[in-house]
Formats: sequence, structure tokens, C-alpha cells
Amino acid sequence: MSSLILGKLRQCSRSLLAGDSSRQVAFGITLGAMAGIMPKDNLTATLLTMTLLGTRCNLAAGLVSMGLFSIVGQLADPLSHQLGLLLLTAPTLNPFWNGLFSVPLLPWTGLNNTVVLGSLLVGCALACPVFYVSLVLLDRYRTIIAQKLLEYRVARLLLGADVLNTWVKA
Amino acid sequence: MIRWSYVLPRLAVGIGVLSAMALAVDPAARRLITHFGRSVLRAQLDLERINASLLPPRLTAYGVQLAKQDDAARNLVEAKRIGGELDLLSLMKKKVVVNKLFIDGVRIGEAHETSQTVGPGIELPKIPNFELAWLDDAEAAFHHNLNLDFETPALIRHSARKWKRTYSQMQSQTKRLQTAAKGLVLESELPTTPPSARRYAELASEVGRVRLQLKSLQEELAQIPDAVNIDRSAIDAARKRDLEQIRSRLQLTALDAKSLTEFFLGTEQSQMLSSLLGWLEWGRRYMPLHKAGKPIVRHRGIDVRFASQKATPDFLLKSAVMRGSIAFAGQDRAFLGRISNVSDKPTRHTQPTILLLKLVDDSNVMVKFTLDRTSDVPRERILVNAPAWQTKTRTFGNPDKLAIIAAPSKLHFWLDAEVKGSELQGTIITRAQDLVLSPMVGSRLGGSRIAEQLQQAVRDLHEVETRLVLSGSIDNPQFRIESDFGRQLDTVIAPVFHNEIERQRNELVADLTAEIQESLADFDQQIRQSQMQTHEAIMVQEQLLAGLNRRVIQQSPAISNLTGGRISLPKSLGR
Repeated sequence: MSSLILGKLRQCSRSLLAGDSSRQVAFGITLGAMAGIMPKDNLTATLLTMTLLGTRCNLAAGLVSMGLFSIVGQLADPLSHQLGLLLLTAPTLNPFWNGLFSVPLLPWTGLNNTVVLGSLLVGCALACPVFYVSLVLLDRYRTIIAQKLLEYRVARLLLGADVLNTWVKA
Repeated sequence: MIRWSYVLPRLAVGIGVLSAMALAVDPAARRLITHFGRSVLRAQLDLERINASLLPPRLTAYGVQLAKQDDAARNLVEAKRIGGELDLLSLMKKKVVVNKLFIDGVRIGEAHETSQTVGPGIELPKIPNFELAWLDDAEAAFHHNLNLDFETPALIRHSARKWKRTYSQMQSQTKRLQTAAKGLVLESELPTTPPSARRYAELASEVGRVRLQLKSLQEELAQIPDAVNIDRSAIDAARKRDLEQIRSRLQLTALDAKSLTEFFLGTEQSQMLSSLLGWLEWGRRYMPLHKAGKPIVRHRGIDVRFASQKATPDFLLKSAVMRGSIAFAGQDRAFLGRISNVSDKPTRHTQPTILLLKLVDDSNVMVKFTLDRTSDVPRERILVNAPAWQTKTRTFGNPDKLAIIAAPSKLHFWLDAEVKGSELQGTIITRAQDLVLSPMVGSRLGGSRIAEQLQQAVRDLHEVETRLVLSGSIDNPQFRIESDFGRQLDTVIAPVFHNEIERQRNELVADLTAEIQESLADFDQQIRQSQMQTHEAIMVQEQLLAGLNRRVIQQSPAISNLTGGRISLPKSLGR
């Protein structure tokens, strides 16, 4: 249990102190939020996670964000469900959904599930705000937080010598 | 230059995912199929291991065991290997379609290796108890079971005692008169001087009185034979009543051929019916009617179904070919089988599930089991044709009372039963030829003696055809047995039992008649002897008194002269 907590703390510290740019970190947080907010037993969540893994965003920030937004997603389920249900049961959209779900592989996306569709839309809606807010906050507070963190022996221990050296050089 | 800080975490995650897939796919698939199978089949499903591959999507299960929920110790089906390839295009549309499945090493009815029980089981209908009231009547009619109470012997004994007592009283009375007579003789011989006329007159009077009593006794004795004859008439009437009782009690009612058929064939036929209903019930429970149109409620949200998704079932097994053995009647029999159109949404697939089985032996048994869930009304149909089924020893009837044992023989078995909704209809026909029958009779019905007589009678009976006509509902099945077996046996059994009753009746009449005759002979002899003894005793006294009378008469003129005729002897002394 202690190693798990330490690992998370290390990931969190790295997301702030590692050599990635603020944009990469913000992008990781955004992708993590989108993947985290929705149920995981479908192809949509898998594709978002693979995007997180496959792009040059900050992986640690993305994974932490995914964990946090999983909790947010559970809390937002009623909203997501209502939104998804509204769209999936709209008569005008029925032909569209019919065509969509007859395409191979698309049924695995789980988009016919009210919460999956709703949370995907919520995630998409949150993507821009999350990205820009993260970017602004990172630009403004990243150096301050990093310096504060390094004042603590714990942070230094968590980051290890190499990371510390890298940061000091930078 | 490679940026390792980017590559390494992603490489690690990628390797982790692939390793997890490689290691976890098989156990996960096993767990998934076991869980899914148990809930769908409502049976205990166990898999030894699963081999799954994604490209091409193929699944092979080893050590498959399917057992009833209530009898996990006995497998319904087990298979060494089940393998098939999934249709990739359907899989991409989230549909599991197996075009062809191969099932090897199928065994039916083997001991289950685990002991888990998942839920309540199926209750088979109870087999009714077929009894024949006629046999109970026959058993009661046999004389050793009757407790007959005859009137005649008791009446003879009573009469004998009564006449013995009467003769005894008469003989006592005779003895008393004899004592009185002897006293008079002694008195007459006493010497008296001078002779007393008064004394002779008294003596003569006394002799007359005793003779009168003796005469009365004689008359009474003479009346006894007439009274005995009245008793004999009563005894004869009692004898007639006893014989009538024997005739009325020792007789059998007419034997009903239909009841006889049900008695002999009912248990076997209802066992067949029970087994059939069990399978129909099994089919009904394990393949319930799926209600279409309900949204699938999940842990998070609901799945909305669209027309394109509703067109076909989510799971479809188009055809499965199986090969294995079935444990039946104590023997392992090889079979080939095919099951087709197994789906989770039969209303979408619109074709019923059909199971075909054929035994690979001389019996040529073919089974076709149709489970139709394509409409709102569930329908099952079982068709079985076994043209040359080799039976074991069959027992018809109740071995404790009356049974017919059929030696192993060939049997043609035909079954066609259908359940629509809850309505049941169908026919089971069994036709046995070259039968060798041997009867078995309980000891209270005559045992081996009757069995031997029946054996002679059933010697020529070699063919039995039975038709079980089913109706009613699956919850309350009705059936009617149609067979000439009862009629054929009726003509055999009834005469044997009637003869036996007749024999017992004659035997009983003869025994009773002999007993009565013997008792009557003793009675007659007793009467004759007593009559004679009493008569002789009376005659002796009569002679004695006659002699005394003569002496008194001889002396009477002298006495009259002495008394001047004032005293005379009683006139009775003169006779």
C-alpha cells in the first residue's frame, strides 16, 4: 500500500517537475480527464487511453488525471445518463444511430450506452476548459510548486537524484 | 536520438497490456463462459481450461461438465473438447456467431467431479400407484383368508349334549323306580301271620303307582326319536346355510381388461411419461422464453437497442456436431449428434433449436428434440424412434401380488410428444415381439402353484403392443393406456383364478360335509345307544313289577275271603 501511495506521489511530482513542456502536461491532463470520466468497459475508453499512451503528452499527468476524473465521472453519471438518453432516443437521430451501429467495430464503442455517450460528450465539452485552465495554472504555478516541493526532503527522495539534477540544470 | 523517458513508460505499459492479455484471456474467457453458461442454462457448468485466440477468433474448451442444479453429482453432459471458430465480422458487430462447433468425447450421465449446487432443481411428476382391486378380492376370497364360521358342527354338538343330558335324566329316573320296585318285592316276601289284607292292598296300590310312572317313562322314551328328527332337520337346514355361505363367499367378480392393462403396464408407462415430462420440463426451464424489447440495464446507464442491432441475436450457434457416448440402461452407447440454431434471442433468429441424436449401434435409435422459442408461445417437441431396442428383464405388475416377468427382448419404441404453451399432447408406442413371459404370484394368492398354472396359460403370449396417449397440460398431465395386453391376460388369468376358487370351494364343501357326516354318525350312534340302554332298563323293571303283580293277584282271592270282600285290589294290578 505504501509503495502504491509513493508511486502516485512520485507520478504527481514528476508531472510537475519532469522535463515535459506545460502543453504536454496539460494535454495529458485533458486526455486523462476524457478517458477517466467515462465507463471503461468499451472501445471508446480504450481508444482514449491508447491515445494517452501513444501521443507525446505527459503520461504521469494523464494517469493521475484519469484516476481523479473517474471519481468525477461516477458523480456525473446522472447528468451523463440524461444527456445520452436524450440523444439516443431522439427520433431524428435514429437513422444516424442505426447506420452507425451497423458499421463493424462501432458496436464495441459502447456509444449506445447512455452514460458512455453522455460522458463522452461531457468529456469533449470539458476538454478545452481543462486544457486551458491546466495550461494557465501550470505556467503560473509550476516553478513555484516545484521549488516548494524541493524544499521537502520527501520530494527529493521521491524524485531521485537524476531528476533532481535534471531540474537543477534546467 | 531516442528519447527514452518517452519510450520506456509506453513500452512498459504496452508489454504489460500484451502480457496481461496473453495470460488473462484464457482464465477470463473460462470465467466468462462458466458464468454466462450457468445463468443461461441454469445448470452447473464447469470447464477444465480454455484456449482462446484473437486472430483468428477461436475458442477451444476442455473438460466441459454440465450437471443438474439439484443433482450436481451426476452430469447431464460432459465433453472432452469443444472447439469452434467465431465469425469475425459478426464479432466486430458485437455479435458472437459460431458457424460450426465440434464437440468430441461427449458423455451423458456420468459422475460429476465437483459437488457445488447452484440452485433449486426440477421436480419430476410422481408416479401413481397402480393397484388392482380384483386381486384384493381374489386374495380375500381364498378360503384361508376368509375366517369362515360354520353353523352346522356347533349345532350338532349342541344337540348331542342336549340328548345326552335327557337320556341321562331318564336313566336316573329308571334307577329310582328300580329301587322302589325292589323295595316292594322285598316287602311282599316278608312272612306275615295271619296274612294282613290291608297290607296287601297297600302293596298292590304301590305297585300300580310305580308301573304307571314306568309307563309314563316308556311313553317319553318313545317320543324321543321324533324330537331327534326335528333336530336333524334343523341340522340339515344349517348345513344348507353353511354351504350357501361357502358358495357366496368363495367367488370372484368379473375381471376388467382395462384395469388389468393399467395394473400391468401403468407403472412402466408412467415411468416413461415421467421421464419424458422431465426432459420437456428441463427444456422449458433451461431455455425459457426470452422477452424481446426490454432495455438492458447495466451498472452504469442503459443500453439502447437500435433496429440494426436487433436484427440478429447477440449469440448464435448455427451448428454443432457432436460425437460421444451416452450411459443408458447400464450400457455406454456411442452416438452422433447435431444441435443447430442455439441463440440467446430465438425471436430474432426465427428458427427453433433442434437437437438430433443417433445411436451408433444395432438399435438405430434416433432422437429429435425441437425447442421452439421463436414466438410468444414456447413449443417443445420430442420425437424418438427406436426400432430395435434391446430391453432388459421387465416386470409388469406387482411382484408381491401378481406380476408378469418378460425376459430380455427386442422392442420397437416410438415417441412423439409436443408441448405448446402448457398444452401437452402426444403418443408413446411400444411394440414387443418374441416375448417370453413368466408369471410370479404372491404367497397369499397361491404362490408357485397358481404361477405354474398361469405359466401354461401365458405360454402362447409373445407379442404386446402398448399405446400411451398423452393429453392435459405439462403441469397436470393426463394419459390413457391402450393395449390388448390386459385383454389377453384377462382370458388367461381369470379362468385360472376361477378354477382355483372352484377347487377351494369344492375342497371346503367336501371337508365340511365330511365333518358333518362324521358328527352326525356319532350323534346317531349316541342316540341309538342311549335309547336302547334306557329301553332295556325300563323293560327289566317292567318284568320285575309284572312278576310282583302276578303274585299279588294270586294271593288276592284269599284276602277277599278273609275280609268278606270289603277290601279289593286295584284294577290296574289285573293287567
